[in-house]
Amino acid sequence: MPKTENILIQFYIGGTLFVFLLLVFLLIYVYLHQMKVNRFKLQLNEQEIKKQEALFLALIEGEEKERHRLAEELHDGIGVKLSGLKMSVEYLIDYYSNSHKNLDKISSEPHPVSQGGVSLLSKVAEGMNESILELREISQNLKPSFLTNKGLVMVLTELVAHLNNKGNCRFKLYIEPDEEKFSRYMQVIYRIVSELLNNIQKHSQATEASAQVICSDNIIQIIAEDNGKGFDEKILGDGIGLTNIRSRLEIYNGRLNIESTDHGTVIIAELPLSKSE
Amino acid sequence: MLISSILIKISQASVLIPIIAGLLFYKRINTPFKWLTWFFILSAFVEIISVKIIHRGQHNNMPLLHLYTLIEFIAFGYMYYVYFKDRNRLKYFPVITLFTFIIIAGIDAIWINGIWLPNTVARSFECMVLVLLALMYYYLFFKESFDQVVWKQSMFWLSTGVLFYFAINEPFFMLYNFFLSNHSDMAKLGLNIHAVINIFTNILFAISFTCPKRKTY
Repeated sequence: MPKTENILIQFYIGGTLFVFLLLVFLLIYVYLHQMKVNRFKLQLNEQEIKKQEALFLALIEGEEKERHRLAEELHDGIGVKLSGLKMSVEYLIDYYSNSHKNLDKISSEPHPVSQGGVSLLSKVAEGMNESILELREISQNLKPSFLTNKGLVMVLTELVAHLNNKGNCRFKLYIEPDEEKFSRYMQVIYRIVSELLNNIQKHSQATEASAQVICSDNIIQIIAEDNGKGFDEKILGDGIGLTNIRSRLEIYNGRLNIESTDHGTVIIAELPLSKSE
Repeated sequence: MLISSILIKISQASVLIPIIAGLLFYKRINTPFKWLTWFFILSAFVEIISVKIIHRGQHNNMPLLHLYTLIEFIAFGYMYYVYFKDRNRLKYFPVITLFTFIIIAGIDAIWINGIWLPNTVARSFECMVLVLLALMYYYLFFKESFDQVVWKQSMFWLSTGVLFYFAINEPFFMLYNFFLSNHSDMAKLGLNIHAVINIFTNILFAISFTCPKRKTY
């Protein structure tokens, strides 16, 4: 075989093999590169999620601080003024009741403040008393510390008892007694449950309602049910506090599921527990 | 010998793989890939006709190969033209090379090899251009589409197929006439390698039809 032909054959075999290997290496490089890109994207995603979580938590913290400030203002400002006014009215009631009795003894002239006036003042004092109690309750509920002091179970039980005293709807509560499971989520659970129960009381016209807080392996479920008139989510939108609930849930990658008919509503809020829980 | 002929028959039939994939996903794929499906259908017809011609024993089928090479170049060149059309300079590359290819193919068919011999010059030129286009696609994809998953891109599979088929067969196409006249055993070896690569490439082309959604290309 002539030398040139030999070289050509070697060129063919060697060239084909070389190109084949080159292509295999190229594909391996593409594969490794893509894996690297995927890892990088995953890291970037995680960082973004962490950043967003931190931002939302800061917002929540700010909101809680604002609540605390508002609670202090209510308690120390309007609360004190109302208490002062109540004392003044009580003093007036005492004063006019006593002077009425004394004047009745010495004169037959009608007293400027009649019996009717005193009873009206008593009603004012009673109303003020109720307002003070309500204000105190609101102020207490606004403070984030009340949850850690009393515990979620106690606070929600009190809330349900209070709602049962207030209206026609009978509320029931089922909550897992083991608070340790959701200690990190007490604030958000309380806000969601109270928002849902208040909504039921204000809007549903229900006669029976219940709230459940269930904690499974890696998820907390808050279920609120009622036998009220229901609502159309599309018409009402998120106007009844559902926006608040949704945004709170979003922070924890949770979700809200609403099923509403003419005979009642079931709202399920799901809150995934973080891996560290 | 038997294995070789079976391999070549499988290789000839393997054009059905991208055709089936193209037809299965025809509604989902975008216009350039629809045209590519039609090109593969045409390829199947060319394959059938060339086999028939050989069986009749009247003529060799080389004129058909000359014509097929031109159609093949237009089909793949069009795919890259569509991909590069939004880039100012690159979009002219497939068009310029097409005109150059037509001139080279003409010269090859008339003066260099003639119409009755394999068009080694035109085919080699086609290989070089398409390999270059495929490499340009790779370069641009990794430069610009950093955040996309490469194996979900139909053009990636197409370019990989182009790269494998044309880069590996380039030396064979260049030396085919020489092997035919001087080393028939080498020509057979080349044909066998070509058959294996052809089957593999057709599978890659078929995958490219399964990837695209309507909007992505």
